[in-house]
Amino acid sequence: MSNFESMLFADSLKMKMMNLAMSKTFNKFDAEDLVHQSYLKALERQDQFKGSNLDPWVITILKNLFIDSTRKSKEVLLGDDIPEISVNDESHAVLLERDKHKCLKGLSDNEREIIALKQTNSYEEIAQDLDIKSGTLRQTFSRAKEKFMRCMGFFDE
Amino acid sequence: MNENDKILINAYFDSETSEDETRYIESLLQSNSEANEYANNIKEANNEINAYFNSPEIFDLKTNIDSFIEKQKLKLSNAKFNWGDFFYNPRYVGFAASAVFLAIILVPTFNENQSNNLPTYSISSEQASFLEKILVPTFNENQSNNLPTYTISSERASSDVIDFNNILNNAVLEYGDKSIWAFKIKTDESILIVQVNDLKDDCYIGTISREKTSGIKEFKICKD
Repeated sequence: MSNFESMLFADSLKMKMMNLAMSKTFNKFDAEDLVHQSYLKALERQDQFKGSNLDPWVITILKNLFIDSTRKSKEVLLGDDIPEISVNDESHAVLLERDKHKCLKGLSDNEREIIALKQTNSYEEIAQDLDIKSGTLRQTFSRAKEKFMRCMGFFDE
Repeated sequence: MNENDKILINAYFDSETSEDETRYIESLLQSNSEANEYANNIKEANNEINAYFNSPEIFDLKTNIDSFIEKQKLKLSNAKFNWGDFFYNPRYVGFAASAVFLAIILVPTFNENQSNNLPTYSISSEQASFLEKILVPTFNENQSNNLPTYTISSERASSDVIDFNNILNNAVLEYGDKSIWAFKIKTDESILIVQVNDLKDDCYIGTISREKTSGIKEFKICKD
């Protein structure tokens, strides 16, 4: 395996891509499709990669692929219409899960990306991957968390 | 508690504060009830977010992506096949000799008219698995061009919300009744390839994929 392929198929990058894809698509089918497409595009364009840190480059590919897919407004997105939770099931766990989805969806793309990447990475790594300053990251992350908490009804207002 | 305290409390629970910041936050949490309450909410939010990113759904996704990566690695290593290694590796030479031997026997007799009257030729299980690898039918683009197509009317496709479940159900049931096991669903924007693999207890089990992409999803659709 070449150096490029070793970096591309590293576990750490895989986890980043997976969490980012889930934070964007909100279902495992589309997330899987998005990650697969990102790997294939990265392999196809490996000649265009200049630098030593592959992760930000691949993350940009994934983000662009997602934007392209959402641009096609009338496209049938598989999985979106195949809910895994029955509509009639109103148990507490199901409602909580729905609220969580709704509240995560309510965040901006940037906020969701930070939350997704924080699952496996430090602030410093996230700042590098998303090309933002660590101070800005701290602030954005804190505001995203607060927005999420308000949406989930954690504060008595 | 000010905005900066909130930022620091959040960073504190992510273990991303300096020693000075840690000391400051720990004393703030002991002395300020508002900060303490905020900290509890942060912990709860972290738990909910972590649960989302560690759900069984994510575990399935990881398994599927791992298998995709393994396939890609295999493809890449096959693409880098070295003829020099081939001629110096006795194992490859053995396989090649078997392939040539089988080709000499099978190729001249293989046409449609003759195949009905072919005598049975027994081969070892090792040879059989070798042949299976070569002869396994593949679902390629040329084949997909000849598939029957279930077209969604432009009126239906242009509506804002497309109930894809219903479309897929109707198509699978309609074609299933006619014993058509592979077909396409065509909209203005995309073409989906549906392959029914099994009919068990009145339920069709199969896969669906977008044309020219590698993602495959499974479905199970029952007659009632």
